[in-house]
Amino acid sequence: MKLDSVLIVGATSAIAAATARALLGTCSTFVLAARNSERLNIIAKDLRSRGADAVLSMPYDALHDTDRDVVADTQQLLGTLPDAVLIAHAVLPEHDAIVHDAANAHQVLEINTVSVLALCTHVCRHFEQRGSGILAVISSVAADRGRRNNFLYAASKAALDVYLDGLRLRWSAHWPLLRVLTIKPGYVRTPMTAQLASMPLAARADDVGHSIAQLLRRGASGRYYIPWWWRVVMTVVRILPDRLVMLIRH
Amino acid sequence: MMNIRSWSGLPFPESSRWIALHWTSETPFTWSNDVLLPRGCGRSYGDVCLPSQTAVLCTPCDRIRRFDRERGIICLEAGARISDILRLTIPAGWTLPVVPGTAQVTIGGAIANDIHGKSHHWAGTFGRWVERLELLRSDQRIVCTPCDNAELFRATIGGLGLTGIITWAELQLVPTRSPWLETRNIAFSTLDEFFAITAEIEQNTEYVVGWCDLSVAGRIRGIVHASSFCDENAQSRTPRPSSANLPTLPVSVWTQATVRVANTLRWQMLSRRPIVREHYSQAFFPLDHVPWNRLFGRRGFYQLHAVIPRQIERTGIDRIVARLWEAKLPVPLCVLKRFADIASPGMLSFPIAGTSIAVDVPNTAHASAALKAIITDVVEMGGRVYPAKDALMTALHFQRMYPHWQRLEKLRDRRTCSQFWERVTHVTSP
Repeated sequence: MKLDSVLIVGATSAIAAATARALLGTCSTFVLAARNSERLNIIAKDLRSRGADAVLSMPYDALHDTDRDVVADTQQLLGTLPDAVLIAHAVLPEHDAIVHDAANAHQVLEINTVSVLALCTHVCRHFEQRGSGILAVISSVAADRGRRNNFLYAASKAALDVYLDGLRLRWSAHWPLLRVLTIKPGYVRTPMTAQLASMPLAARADDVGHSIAQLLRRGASGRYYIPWWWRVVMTVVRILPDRLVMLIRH
Repeated sequence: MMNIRSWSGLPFPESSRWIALHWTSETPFTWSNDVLLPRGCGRSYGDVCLPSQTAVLCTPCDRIRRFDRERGIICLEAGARISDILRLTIPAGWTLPVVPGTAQVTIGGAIANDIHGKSHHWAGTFGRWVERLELLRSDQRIVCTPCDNAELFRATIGGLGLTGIITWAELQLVPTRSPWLETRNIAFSTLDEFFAITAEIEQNTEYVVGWCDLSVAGRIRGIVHASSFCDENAQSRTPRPSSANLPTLPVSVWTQATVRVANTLRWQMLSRRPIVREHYSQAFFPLDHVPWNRLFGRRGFYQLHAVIPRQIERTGIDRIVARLWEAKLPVPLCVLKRFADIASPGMLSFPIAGTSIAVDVPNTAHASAALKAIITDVVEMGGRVYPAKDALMTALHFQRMYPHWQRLEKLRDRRTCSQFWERVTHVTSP
């Protein structure tokens, strides 16, 4: 698969930044979108210093730019559609604070789900017109089963998994050069997870970025757990009966 | 929760309190009232990397701000690792003038310990190549250079992270011709030979270090490794980065017998290969290819790293070696290196003109007593012990070896302290 240019939405997230760095050498043009322009600038300078040919950045706020066609904006910047789109933005709310707070919960869903699916819709339209491209979205192992202290976040990610499963089926039938990559990292040490008291088996953002870059280079399509053994862990977690899960405190 | 430990695995009081710095614009001093200590990869052997209260992990801040490929100047965030930097600069024809024995060291850590390497005879210490740095203190953010805020600059180089958090630094690189080095292995069998060989070979070799086998009492033998960058690319393929890993063994593998076997094997192997062509990652960073610290078991190990002043280097090194034999300690690694008379910019920099000796010894009560006695000797000879490696010196030792410590104490940020600093100065955190 061709992978010269990539659009990364949520490019200042630790996993996205690590992925971009790992793509250097494969990918020469980066379009970075994120909310904080100062941080975006730091990431852009880093990629440029490390040898990227072109790094363009644009402001994007998942909460307010839900309807914006960022893919079309990218096309305007580059003169062509990007070969791949990586959607990486999300918030991990402090669960106790939002369980009873509808406005806050709405905001989480807006950022994690609505804006991502809106972006996917734009990607879908543009990519189907061209007939090739990779759509990669960062979901989470959390999406596989709601836990007592993160079920809103889990639900917001589960919607992505289901949407992408369907999109993958649609594309596999008619567009052999279109790929859908659902990336499901386990615990990763990043600013997003800094508040979590316990993170068993936590991975480093750098390693996760390398794995994602490898999947993109391979043109992989499907649900991928990172590291891979989370697939085994989550298979077990999914089939445990509720009554047993209730006994587990974690 | 992750435990904050030092690389040697010595049983210091561990701490599990840490926060991470993800952006250099953040101000962790305002997040709590804790006393902080910036921390990189935690490769220090002793307690200089252990916080009094809370460690600030700086490794997420590892972005490059600017790389001037014409002039060889790189400006980067202080959490960047040496491995990461060389991967970028060496293909562009530039290298760091000073590198330690592992590439898993951050720029912040390299500055804070004012590290040295096998290039000391021409490059001096790491701090000499720092052009500018930004310091985040509890009350301000301040850019220091050898001219502006010079006193704070000198305190920060070799300042053990006590003057605040280094957020970014600008470094001068030196040109290099290829990623490959040619190493000559020259055998010696007395200390006099070691001194003669190094003095001569330093004239025309970029990197010089001596490995020494002390496993048989009364017999010194070793190899001087003398490496220079090759002019053209070697034919061999670039080695894949190795990730040597091993869980910490329950007990140390090192006894006098195993040390003798290991050293003999190494001697045999090296003396049969007088000239070796190696990739820089192999030639520079031997510690990255062996899980060295894990071999010493749960109790960890001491490294004594001392420098003896030039006038008495010959007798001084003799005396230390004799002490090691007398104590019958297993010494799996002994490294000798001559330091040139190049002034270090830091107030508390370790190198002085003379010869340094570094020995690794498994942690036992007997070993710590014997090494303490050697440290007392070093102090008497006017030498120094390297804080980045130390776990044993007393406040009295430290204050005699580093008479400038009070100047650093004056510039220390009151919201910053380490277990090491508490130990050797008896200051206590609030």
